[in-house]
Amino acid sequence: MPSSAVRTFTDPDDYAAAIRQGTYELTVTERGDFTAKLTRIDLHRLWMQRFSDNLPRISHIAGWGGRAVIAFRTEPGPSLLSSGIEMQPTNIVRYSEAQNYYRHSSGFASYGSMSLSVAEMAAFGDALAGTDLTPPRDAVLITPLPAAMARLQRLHAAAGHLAETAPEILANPDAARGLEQALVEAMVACLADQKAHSNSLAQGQHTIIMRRFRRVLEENPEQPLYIPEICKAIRVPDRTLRQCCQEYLGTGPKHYLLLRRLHLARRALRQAQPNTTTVTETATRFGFWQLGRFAVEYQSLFGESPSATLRQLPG
Amino acid sequence: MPGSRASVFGEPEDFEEALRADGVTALLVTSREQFRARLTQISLDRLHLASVEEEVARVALVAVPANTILVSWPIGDRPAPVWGGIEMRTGEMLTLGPGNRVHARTGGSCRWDTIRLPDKELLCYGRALWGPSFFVPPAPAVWRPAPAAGRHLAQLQRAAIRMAEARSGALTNAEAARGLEQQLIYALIQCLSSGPAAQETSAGRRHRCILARFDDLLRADASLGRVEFCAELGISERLLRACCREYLRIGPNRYVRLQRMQQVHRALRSGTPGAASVSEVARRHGFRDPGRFASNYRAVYGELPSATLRRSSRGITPLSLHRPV
Repeated sequence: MPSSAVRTFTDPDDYAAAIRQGTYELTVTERGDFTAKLTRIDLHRLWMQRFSDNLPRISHIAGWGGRAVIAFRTEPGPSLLSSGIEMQPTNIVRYSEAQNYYRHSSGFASYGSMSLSVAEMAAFGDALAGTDLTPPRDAVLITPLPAAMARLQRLHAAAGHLAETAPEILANPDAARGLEQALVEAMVACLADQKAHSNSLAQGQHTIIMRRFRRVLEENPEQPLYIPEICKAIRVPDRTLRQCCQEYLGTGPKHYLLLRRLHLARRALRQAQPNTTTVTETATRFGFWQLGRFAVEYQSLFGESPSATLRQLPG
Repeated sequence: MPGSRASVFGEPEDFEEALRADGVTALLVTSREQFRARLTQISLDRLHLASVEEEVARVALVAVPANTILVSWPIGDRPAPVWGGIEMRTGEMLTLGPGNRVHARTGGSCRWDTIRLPDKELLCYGRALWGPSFFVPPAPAVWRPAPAAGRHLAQLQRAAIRMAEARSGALTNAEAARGLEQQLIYALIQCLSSGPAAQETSAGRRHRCILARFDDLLRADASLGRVEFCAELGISERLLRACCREYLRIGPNRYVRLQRMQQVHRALRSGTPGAASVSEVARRHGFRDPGRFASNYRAVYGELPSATLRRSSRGITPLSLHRPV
């Protein structure tokens, strides 16, 4: 059954949880009131999402659940990088089926994604354009002909508009089928265009390093991590890791890990009982020894003091 | 087991005992004031931190344990001990390699921090973080880290010490201890990545070893005089005097006398069965004239040797603030 939903968020964690594809992890890197909007449209076979969020952040996307996914920016704005490559409204990232990606924005970002199951993507590619559209081994950035890209953008935006203003149209199976056909056609036209420039996102060594970096993080989801142990685990000197992180995350590993620890501490404070836990205990457990500095950093990132977070009732 | 200990000392002997794991083997007070020191120690998984505040001039022989590296730096712009004749200025650091034997002297009030860790760990993390060129010389060396790196390390250590003094419970959490350790290792390697600013010269090494052996001889045989020392060490009296002046700031005669006096003092204080008679103990430690000994003794310790022997209380005992190390 076709369906659609439009939701707005003020909490990054809720936002990340609502995004369907992959395991989505989101780390906001600057202070501010977070707002995000997510439009999700499931047609019969084609699924699409439109995203917009207002704060600089780093997200990590893992696993696509057997679907062939593309994403593109829907509006120009501050830089939005996917694995170190700038996304533009004029280009499309084709993701591979089973890889992990970092995406980081330096401000307001809006973008859209579309996906079909891998088999259907291949079948449509074959039927509509006679080309093989199974997902590439490494992510690929392609620049379609402007006319084809403009048509895809237009249709994608129209679908988003419908979801907001007239969701009942999208729920109608026949209308949904019509829209789906048009969207698939526009997408295949963009992807199959032989004149498209393509550019591999796999930048050799750095991609491998970032994947290992990610693996270490994933093996210790709830645990604070520090640079020495990470460098030791992935066998890369600090300098190289810093370069890779600058490229892929837009910030150094130290800052990224600090943010991660701040977020972990916040989560722990939220789940803790105020009468059995102290801020000091939580802060030191996540590696913050200079308590004054911790309070300042925490306050500047989350807009409230750690003790205020602790006092809020869990849930 | 991670843990911490904060202590205050009124007796050099207890202070020496508390720092034994850091290689402090003989601590000799060289001025006549009442000894005062404050020590906070933190034991992590692999790192051992210590922060010291001392008030009285002293000389100590530091023998770094095998497979261990000792890193030290002054706190703020306060004077720090002079290790093996190396005077550290603000912003500088000192490393001592495994097995190094160094005399560390202070000229009065001083403040210093140390980190002790296995050399293999340091090298392993150094290579992981910095690359194969990371190197810490096996002999004493002075480092001049980038100001930001030095500050970072000092601040982290300060924060940990403060935490140990105020809220010791924070350090018994294994996760917290690991976090602290990782951050300290990172900060330490940032400091040491620039390479040493000055390394020991061959003459410096020779003099350092002469003094260490001088100390051994002094302890091994109470009857040796200046001439015998020089003969045993195979050096001239002039050189021995120069070494003592350079590293200890006092002449060999005075150093020997103070050392022996301290041995007597400790023997009397401990009240071991052999310490029955003052003159007997004094004679055993090479003092042949009991009368002169007694007056010299009083000049140093402010009481007659017989009073020390009678005193059952041990002055200020270390104030250990519960929690395990």
